[in-house]
Amino acid sequence: MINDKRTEPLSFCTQNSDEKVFKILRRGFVLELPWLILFVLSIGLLTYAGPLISDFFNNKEVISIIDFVRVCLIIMGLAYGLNRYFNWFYSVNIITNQRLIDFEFNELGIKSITECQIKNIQSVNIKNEGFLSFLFGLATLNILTSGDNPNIDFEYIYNSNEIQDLISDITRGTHAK
Amino acid sequence: MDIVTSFTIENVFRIIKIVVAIFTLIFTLFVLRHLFDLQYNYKSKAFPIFIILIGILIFISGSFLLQFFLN
Repeated sequence: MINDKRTEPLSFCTQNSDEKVFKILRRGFVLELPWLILFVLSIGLLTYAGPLISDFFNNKEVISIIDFVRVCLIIMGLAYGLNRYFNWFYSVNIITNQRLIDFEFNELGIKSITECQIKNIQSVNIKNEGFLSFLFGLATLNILTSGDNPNIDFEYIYNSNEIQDLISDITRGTHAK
Repeated sequence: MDIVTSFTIENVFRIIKIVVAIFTLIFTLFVLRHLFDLQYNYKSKAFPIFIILIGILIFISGSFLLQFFLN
């Protein structure tokens, strides 16, 4: 796990020089499918609505403005779709040898970054809920911390047992350096 | 130009188009700004590809807006 080629070259803004990244995790992409299907349908509808609109209106000016607005909506739709994808892509959970970090981005300008030191971790629970989680093997890892430190949830991740084991190993200091 | 003669359907449509084009450009620029914010937190190697994708959309929406001022 430590030699995972996909996790090696990454870095993040507050990374310390002696901090080593063990794993990065993302929400299962399957949970993004509802908006993705809606997005593809909307773009398809806007793209193929042109000839239908032309049939309804005879005025050249009206057709021209509707076409213009339609193309602008397609561009805005594509930008919105890209933004949703970026949010999924950059919302990562990072496990390092010093701490756990949870980057969460939902909409434009809204972000939440939670981190907790390895030494403050009390326990790691796995929670399986929802039909999609059951179907695609996703689970939420609930990491409880001591004192005033915030708890961290790694939501809808694959291989939750493996990750739970990794965090437990790091906490006990038995993970391979 | 007299304000009554300038208030034609053609001009109104032109203004609507300009407003829509401005909104489109602003929205795509917001997404670009958000992308820089995301990249600041977590450095991804896919960033140049994302920039190219959003850059294409900004270029198209920018050219829509520009055509009104060049004509």
